[in-house]
Amino acid sequence: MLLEVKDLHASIGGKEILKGLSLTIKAGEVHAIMGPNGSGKSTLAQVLAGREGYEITAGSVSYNGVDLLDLEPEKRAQAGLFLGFQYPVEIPGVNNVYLLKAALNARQKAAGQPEIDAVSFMRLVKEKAALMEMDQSFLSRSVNEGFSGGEKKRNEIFQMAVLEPTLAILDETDSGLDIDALKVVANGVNLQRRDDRSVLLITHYQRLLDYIEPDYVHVLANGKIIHSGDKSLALQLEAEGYDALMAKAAG
Amino acid sequence: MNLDPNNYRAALANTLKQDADAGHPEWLLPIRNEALEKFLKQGFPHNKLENWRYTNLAPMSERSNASVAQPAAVGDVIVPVTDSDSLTLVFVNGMFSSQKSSSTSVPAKGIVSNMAAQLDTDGAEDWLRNSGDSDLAQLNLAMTNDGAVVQIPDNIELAQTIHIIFTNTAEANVFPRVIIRLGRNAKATVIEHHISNAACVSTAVTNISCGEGSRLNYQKLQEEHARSFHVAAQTIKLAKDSHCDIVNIDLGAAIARNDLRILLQGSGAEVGVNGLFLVDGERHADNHLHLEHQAAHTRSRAHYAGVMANKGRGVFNGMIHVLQAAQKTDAALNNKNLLLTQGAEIDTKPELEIYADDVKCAHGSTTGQLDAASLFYLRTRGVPQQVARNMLVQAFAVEVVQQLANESLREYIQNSVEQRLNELVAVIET
Ligand SMILES: Nc1ncnc2c1ncn2[C@@H]1O[C@H](COP(=O)(O)OP(=O)(O)O)[C@@H](O)[C@H]1O
Ligand SMILES: [Mg+2]
Repeated sequence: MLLEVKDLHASIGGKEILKGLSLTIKAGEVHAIMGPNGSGKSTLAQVLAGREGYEITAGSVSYNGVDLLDLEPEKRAQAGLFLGFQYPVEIPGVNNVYLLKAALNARQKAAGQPEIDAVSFMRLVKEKAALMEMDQSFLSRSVNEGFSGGEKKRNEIFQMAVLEPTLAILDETDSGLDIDALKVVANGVNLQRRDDRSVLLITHYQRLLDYIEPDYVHVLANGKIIHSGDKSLALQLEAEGYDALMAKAAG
Repeated sequence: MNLDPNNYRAALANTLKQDADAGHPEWLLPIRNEALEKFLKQGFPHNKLENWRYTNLAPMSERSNASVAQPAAVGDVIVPVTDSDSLTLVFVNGMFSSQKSSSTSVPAKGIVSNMAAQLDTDGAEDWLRNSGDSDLAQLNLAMTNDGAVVQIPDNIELAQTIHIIFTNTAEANVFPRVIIRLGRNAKATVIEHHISNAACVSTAVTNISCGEGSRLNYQKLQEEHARSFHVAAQTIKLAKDSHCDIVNIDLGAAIARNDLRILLQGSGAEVGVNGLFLVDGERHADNHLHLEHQAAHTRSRAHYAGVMANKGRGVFNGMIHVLQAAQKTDAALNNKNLLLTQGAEIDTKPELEIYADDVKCAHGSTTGQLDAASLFYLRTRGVPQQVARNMLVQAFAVEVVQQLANESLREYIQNSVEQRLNELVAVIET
């Protein structure tokens, strides 16, 4: 079992957002979480990545057998967790490549490995940038500064490609993308699918799942997973809408 | 603080004797006497003056008063890295060191030299008489032993960087003076660099004029010893269509003060100012910037970044002053500050005073802590918290450092800044 979320309750500012969420992901699986706006999808992603400010009032998260909630965000990342942000942050003055180097070296260090040498690093970075059809000039620019919405999402997947996570949580990586950009991003994710890499796709629309086929689809509503199934569930949702499903779950 | 005039007069007598021994021109004597008397009448500026509200020079005046004389002792001289192409003028404890300086080859009729060697030149009297209106200008005029003169003739472009270094190795009182004159369409890069390894008291005056169509890169770097005092004033006059790019970096001193006064006198004149001050411990850095648009179609851009930690205190006072004749002025001034720990402080005041009606002026300031969202983003990539903080603080300062024109110097300052910021970030409580 790679990730096991059990009865997770999380609140912020005294308001409960996650209300008993459970989810299990095995190595190599791709799961999609769909749900209406405000249902708590990003909250789940942020809590899993270790954002401060959330209060976990009940439940547990185990990752590779360790208590994930006990770890600092950087320790989670060093242990192979990656979060692709719904809204990637612009950080003027911090160079993209510089960040990636610091990130990779922190991971190497945590694993007791030597730092990556400059030549192999640049080779790796250039190869992955090409994979994401990113212009080399992006590498030396500040993190996300002045990037368009699509460029930011592409940059998230590029970072994922360089960091080679064990579990990637991609929060609405499809939103704001035109169809061409969506294909590039989806292709980037597909190329990274491996037996020992799991992906949690968070999305509002079924569209992304035409390009990245999930093994499982879950519906998140009001802080809970109310329904799980295979990829046909996404099509059903597309046809019937969230309301019908939520009514059924309530009924 | 009551000054003991006898101390200063005795010191001046000494300076005058040195002038005579060196065979300096006679016009110096009355100028110096007059300046000292003016200074004694006025004394050191105090907190009741609006311009000095936040900066108390009492500790400096005490030290200055106790020993106005300048010891000649020379210890370990720090000459920061320069590229071999630079023209370097080095002053140790206020005195020119030809040994440490590079032999200068200068275009015909141009001057890149120490001032004392050039006092017989036409116009030398003006160099000294034009000391500017800053509060300690008269003291500098009375006491200055030497300084740098850079005079570039019309239409001459100097490829080499001129690096003026005032280095202090003793607890000396020093009075550095810099004079820069650019002729029509002349072009030059000048670095004024103050660096010390002893608790000196430095009262510096810089006077710059940029001729029509000229281009100047002027960079002032202050890396004084942590217990030293550094009070500096620069006056920069810009003629028609001249451009001046200024970088002002304060890394050291217990109390540092800069009065930068820029007068855009001819239409089409342009200035860009980038400032950075880092204060921690109990240090204090005060930057006063006065931008005066006197002519039409003039443009200014000023950006100051302050980083404060511990009980460090920063002061920024920036004024855009647009005279009635200066229609179509385009001016923008901003100051952003980072307070890394509780107890650190910044007093910032960007101001506008506008007497023309067709102008574009903007000013503002922001003060805050490190951005939590950015910090989290970096940490989700595996970057440890401390390293992530460091990256963000460096990013804050890097914009200013990147403006440095000379590559080896930029690297050198980048390192100095990184080192200082590492120290600052290390004190943040987790
Ligand atoms: N910092 C916060 N403080 C209070 N409420 C918040 C905060 N962040 C999110 N919420 C609320 O939590 C709910 C879930 O938000 P979110 O997880 O972003 O939903 P989704 O990603 O599914 O659209 C929303 O009602 C939102 O308003
Ligand atoms: Mg969301």
